[in-house]
Amino acid sequence: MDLNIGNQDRLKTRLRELAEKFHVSESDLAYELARIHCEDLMLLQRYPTDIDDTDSIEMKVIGVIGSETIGRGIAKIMAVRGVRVVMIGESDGDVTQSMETMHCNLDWLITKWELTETEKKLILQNIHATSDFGKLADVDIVFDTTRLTFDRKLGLYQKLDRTIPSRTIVAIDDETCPLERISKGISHPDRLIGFHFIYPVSRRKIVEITPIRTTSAEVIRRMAGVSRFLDKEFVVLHETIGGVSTRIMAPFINEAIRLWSEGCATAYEIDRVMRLSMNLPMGPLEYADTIGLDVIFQIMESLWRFYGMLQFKPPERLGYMVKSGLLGKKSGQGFHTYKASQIGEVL
Amino acid sequence: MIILVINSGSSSVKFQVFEMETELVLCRGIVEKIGSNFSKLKLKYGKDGSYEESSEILDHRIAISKIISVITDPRFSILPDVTVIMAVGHRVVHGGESFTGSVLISTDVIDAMERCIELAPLHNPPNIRGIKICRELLPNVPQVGVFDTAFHQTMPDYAYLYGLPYSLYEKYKIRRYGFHGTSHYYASREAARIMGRDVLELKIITCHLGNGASIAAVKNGESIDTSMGFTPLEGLVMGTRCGDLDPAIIPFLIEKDQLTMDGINNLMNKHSGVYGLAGMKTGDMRDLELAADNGQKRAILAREIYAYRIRKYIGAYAAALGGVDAVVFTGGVGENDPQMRERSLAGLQFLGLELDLERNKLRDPGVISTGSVWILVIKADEELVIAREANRLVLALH
Repeated sequence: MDLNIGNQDRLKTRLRELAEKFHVSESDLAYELARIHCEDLMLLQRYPTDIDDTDSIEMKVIGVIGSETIGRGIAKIMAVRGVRVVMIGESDGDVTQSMETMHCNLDWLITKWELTETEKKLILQNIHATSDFGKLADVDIVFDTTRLTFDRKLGLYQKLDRTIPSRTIVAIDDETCPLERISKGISHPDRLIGFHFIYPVSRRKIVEITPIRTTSAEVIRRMAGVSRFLDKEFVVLHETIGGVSTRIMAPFINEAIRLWSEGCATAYEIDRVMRLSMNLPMGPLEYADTIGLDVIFQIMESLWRFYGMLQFKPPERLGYMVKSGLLGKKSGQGFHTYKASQIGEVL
Repeated sequence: MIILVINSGSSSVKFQVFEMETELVLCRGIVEKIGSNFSKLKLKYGKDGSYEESSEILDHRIAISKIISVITDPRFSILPDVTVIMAVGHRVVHGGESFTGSVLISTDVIDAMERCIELAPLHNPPNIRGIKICRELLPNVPQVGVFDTAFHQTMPDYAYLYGLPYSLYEKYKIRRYGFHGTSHYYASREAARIMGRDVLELKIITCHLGNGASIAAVKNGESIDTSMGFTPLEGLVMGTRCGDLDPAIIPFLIEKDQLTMDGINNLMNKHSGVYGLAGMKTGDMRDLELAADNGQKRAILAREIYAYRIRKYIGAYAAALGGVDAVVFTGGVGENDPQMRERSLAGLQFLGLELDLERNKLRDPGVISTGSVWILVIKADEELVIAREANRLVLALH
């Protein structure tokens, strides 16, 4: 059953039509349907339809786990809107380095006129980066941006259970994380929700919200409000690993890599064809380089492991590149070669 | 008759309480940094009473409730209770083409205002929020909306239309609206009063020079042209806004530097004007004047560009009006920067604009000309206009 927001009205109309057709009342029909697909219908009722009130999202301070690109991106878009951010890095060294990168990125955004000096100050003032997990003790929402193995992920959430108050929402950016399985091992599965930003976080105008069966209606509503607060549209997805964007992007990049390793076109040519033919801002190989080939490999592997479909299977060549340290823009070399000046990260 | 004036912005609410028989300001104040946990309420009342409190004020509802409770607080003896408030006057930035004057607010009016949001996405929503909250908190008190655009609705079509396909005006209402209307209205009326003439027989150029700046041609009491356009970006060079520009520069820059829509918008609104020209990390005219006086070349250039643009508009509006009886300076810079007034009027003696250099240096508002055309400095008072409008509409109810 398709449960997108826009489809709610259609579903309601369909229910009325079917009830008329079979000469039963709408409520009887709904009851029967509910027995068949009880949980799906319950989900339907919880879905937010109209979120224009961002006053009630109760978000003064947020936590971000992970101080890499996505973590910094979330920290920035929140901080610039006056939300205080506690960003957790793995070690003090990571935190320092991440904040240095943040400084450079913000300066770069100033050269692109997207920020003023004052806004930069505001952003840095609102971000508290630390490796001390305990600092998450009174945040309203935690955004987890790490990509970890199942066991480490579960361990992380169990640790969160002991650190954060029960009202705090746990929003997971990793769209390939098996949330349903995680939810069985933690004490407040009602506050767990998938909330996937698309890179670059500040530029992409949509987020994918993936509630699981246990997610409370209140949490879904509040997170929809968060996306509005961030001036982004949202889509609510239903029982999925990989969401929409990643599910489609992974085979897309995969095919580009295969074409490239077959030698029928250079990386430059493949990207040029896709950019100009489909009017994309960048071709699939440059996009993979931008995200980081290690991340792309991880995503493909998770999807491959979960779905077992060949289209997700990471190409051998990609594994070789990752193991050799060719990670794309961040290492200067991936499918393309990058000069230091081209590497300006967009938050 | 007691009138409360509310100017509800995105993160602040300004307020003022008037006693209308004498037009006396009983108190004025502001709630700042709404939504943070270091919000501030500042109040000035009576002769020289002042009060300040810091607390967490999470939204406009709490801010406005606080304002209502503080103006009726017995400690300050401003108002005995809320029942004496006869009307609330609200500033609304954009009234589109729907509002040619101030209005008594009803649900229909709010709907019409909401349809104007598209035209002023930053300003109108907090204005409307302020109105809705006041309607709830003071349900029996009439609310009046006063629009920044309303005074300019008298512009003729040949002045408000751009040289774009007419279909875009029909489709999106793309046209010149103009802003600071309340200020231009007040400045022209005050000028006529000081001149001892009827505004209906005068040709006046009003220069509202503040953080944002605009200039208007007022003929026989009506605005016939103004420098701000579809948005407050057009016209004069401002603190951080660029004003008039060859529109082809925008796609050129987007292409050259791969700028985003946010980037190009910010560039024109926040990085330009004297801020971007002088490169001093400030758009404040006082800092600029100081740096220029100390010989900083770009600061000197920036203030010359600022003044030159004003001079060109004065010339253009003298032509549009077919002559000029008075030029009025108002707003923060217009009232307090004699150098900028002198610079803006340089070489305009041929229009009869002779500045009294001594009087120009005085801080007091008033007449600063010696020639046939009046030059005046008038202290902006948009709140008073809003209060008068509210008063007028509420009296008409009875």
